[in-house]
Amino acid sequence: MPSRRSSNSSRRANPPKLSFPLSDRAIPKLLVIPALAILLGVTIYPLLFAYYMSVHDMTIVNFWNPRFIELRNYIEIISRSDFWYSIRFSIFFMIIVTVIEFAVGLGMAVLLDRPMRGKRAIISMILIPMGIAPALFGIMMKLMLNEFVGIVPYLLKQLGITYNFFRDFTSSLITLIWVDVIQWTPFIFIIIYASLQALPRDPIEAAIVDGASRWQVFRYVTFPMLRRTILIVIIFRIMDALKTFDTIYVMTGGGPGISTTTLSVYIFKLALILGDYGLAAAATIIFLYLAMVVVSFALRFLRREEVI
Amino acid sequence: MNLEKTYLYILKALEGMSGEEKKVSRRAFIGTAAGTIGGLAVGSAIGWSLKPSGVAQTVTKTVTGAPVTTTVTKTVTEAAAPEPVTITLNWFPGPESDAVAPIVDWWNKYMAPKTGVKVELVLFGRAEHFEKIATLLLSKSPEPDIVFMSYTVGRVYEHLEPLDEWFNNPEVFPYSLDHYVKAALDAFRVNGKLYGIPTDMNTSLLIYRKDLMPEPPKTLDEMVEMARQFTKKYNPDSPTEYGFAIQGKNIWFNSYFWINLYVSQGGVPPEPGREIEFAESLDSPTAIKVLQVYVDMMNEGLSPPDSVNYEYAETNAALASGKVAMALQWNAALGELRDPEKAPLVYDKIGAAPTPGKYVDGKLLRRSEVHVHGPGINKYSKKKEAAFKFFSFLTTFRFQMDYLKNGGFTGSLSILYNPKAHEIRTEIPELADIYRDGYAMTTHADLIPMHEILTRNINSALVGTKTPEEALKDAKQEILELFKKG
Repeated sequence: MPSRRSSNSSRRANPPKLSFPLSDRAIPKLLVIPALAILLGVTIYPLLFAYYMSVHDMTIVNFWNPRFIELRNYIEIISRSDFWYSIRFSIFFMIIVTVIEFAVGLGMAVLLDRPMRGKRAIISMILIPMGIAPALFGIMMKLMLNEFVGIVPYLLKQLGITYNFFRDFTSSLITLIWVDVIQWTPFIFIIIYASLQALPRDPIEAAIVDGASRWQVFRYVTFPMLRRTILIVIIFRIMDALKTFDTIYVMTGGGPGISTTTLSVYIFKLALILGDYGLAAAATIIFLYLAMVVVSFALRFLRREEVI
Repeated sequence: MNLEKTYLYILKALEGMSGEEKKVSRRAFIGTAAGTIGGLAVGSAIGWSLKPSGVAQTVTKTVTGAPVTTTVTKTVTEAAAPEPVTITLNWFPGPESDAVAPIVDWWNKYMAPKTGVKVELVLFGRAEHFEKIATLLLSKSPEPDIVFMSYTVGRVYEHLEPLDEWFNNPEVFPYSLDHYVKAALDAFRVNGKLYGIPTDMNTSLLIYRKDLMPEPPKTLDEMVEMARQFTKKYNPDSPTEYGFAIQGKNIWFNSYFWINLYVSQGGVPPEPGREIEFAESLDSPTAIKVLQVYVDMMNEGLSPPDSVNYEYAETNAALASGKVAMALQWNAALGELRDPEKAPLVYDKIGAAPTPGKYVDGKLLRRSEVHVHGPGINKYSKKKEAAFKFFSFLTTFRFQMDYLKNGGFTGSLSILYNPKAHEIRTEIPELADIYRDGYAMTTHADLIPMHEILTRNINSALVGTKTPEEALKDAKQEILELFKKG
């Protein structure tokens, strides 16, 4: 045995020499190249290409020989009222759905953070909408809400309620918010619920022993301990809600008029319906900076709260 | 014995490798060798018996060409079936793909062994089908080998294979294109070159409940009057809840219905070469009047409130539920609405008529646009020859008839004026007049943006965020700017 140990340690001390002439410093760099190539391919190249498109008069017809037009696409896009409307609507939609989803998700997580019968089944059911592709979920909901063939209007009618889910901006907006809440509340729920499960029980039990009410325990003990998780989950949700596309495109197509057009839907239509890739790229770059502003604020906030 | 020598040589070599002495009896060796040889012989015999025959066959092909029909008889030697090549066929999802799927199955079962071409059907979403195809072609994707195109051919023709040379080569195309409606074929020509074949000729029409209205409305005024008559709000005895269903969703192709109403009132049709004239006429009194009629129908509750969000499927659902008396709809919907399984409540009560128009000098003007859909060959396909084998089959009378039986509708005179075709699809006589009086939709590269602008503005008027005048004025301005930019 001792002889084996000594043989191993001597191997460690004198690693075998490579037959090709590469210094120890070069090898790590060489090994990073594949990952770097993938990164360049999937992030840097599309970004640079988006910049390239945004300063060219690139349409579906002249895709291979576009004309350089300086910053004209940027000037045109910021002079469009529908572009600004889509930004306003995206932010409005993001705030509304994030607030509702957070409130509902937190409530559900707290409610289920106790021993109860059938809890696993309930949690599984809550998570189902999150597992469905957003476009498919949109189609399902659209069918369920159809006045003539949908189950929801049928049940409402049985209760004597007549309600049209897409008749105007308000009803369409409410429907879209409702659908987004059904699909994405489980995301907030599951993260907060997991965090609740991992919380140390001692402070909570101590507070109960000290005579704190349920609300006081939640307000002064549980909630502060959850703060970091909540911040992260909200930031994730904000970033996701800001670029909502699938369900809205499937359910309303951005209408009535342009009233439910988010920036993602707007950019999609510019590129693939109007065929103006240059203009769509300019809008995308502006969207990117908008998202970066949101993310940088979020990161600063997280750093201040010592989450990261 | 050479075999024995070889055996001893191998044995020696094995001994050298393992360092151990191997002992194999002569009997075992001979048994193994005999088994191997016997197995090879049996395998070869089975393979030989299954070999495809290369016999000479007489093949008769009929080439129909105006003005005479020529029958060419030639003897060809069918070679052994070539290695099967699988091509990808893209088709328009919906009634069109439902119609082609059984034909693809038939081809794969009976024709693939003969031609060596297997076909795999590839579908995308209906709403974004043409955008997806455009993206694939722009990215120079070699698949799908055959792509389902439409009048949007003007935008992507540079990425499609020009077909004239293929069609002019009797070696690869022993058929004829003369049976097609000329306008339908022209709808796939760009700069004089052909890029597709019209396997689907489409139009929009008025679908109505013939059990409720023995005579469909002929004019716009009659249409509104009948819609009111069959709306419960105005006529509590009405068997239907709403008289009409407007397809109002902000999705680019929904403007077609409004355009047809407008053209049938004497408006300028967006025919090839008249795009600017059409755009300039959008704020005309006729255009404003037609949009006002639409808006009034919505405001008066003649159309379901949700219909501002209706497209093909919702309109069909509304008609199939028996709660709507009329709608402007694509002709493809007739197949679904007259199917007892898909529309059990109304399948035998559905009538079809041209878009309501108006009397001009005592003559009834009713015009619907005619547009075509159909396949083209991807310029970047790596299997063009195989793809063309199936492609040429799509021009045959057999395909036209089978496609018709399955619910499709080709742009072929051999279908429109064929009594056998009329037996299969009883609505063809109803549609023939519409096609006869129809106009061809432009193949302008900015066709979709033009429709998108118009649909968005019509939708805004329907929900009351713009007046009809504002909506059409904005649409006119945007479309003219678009053409200017293009």
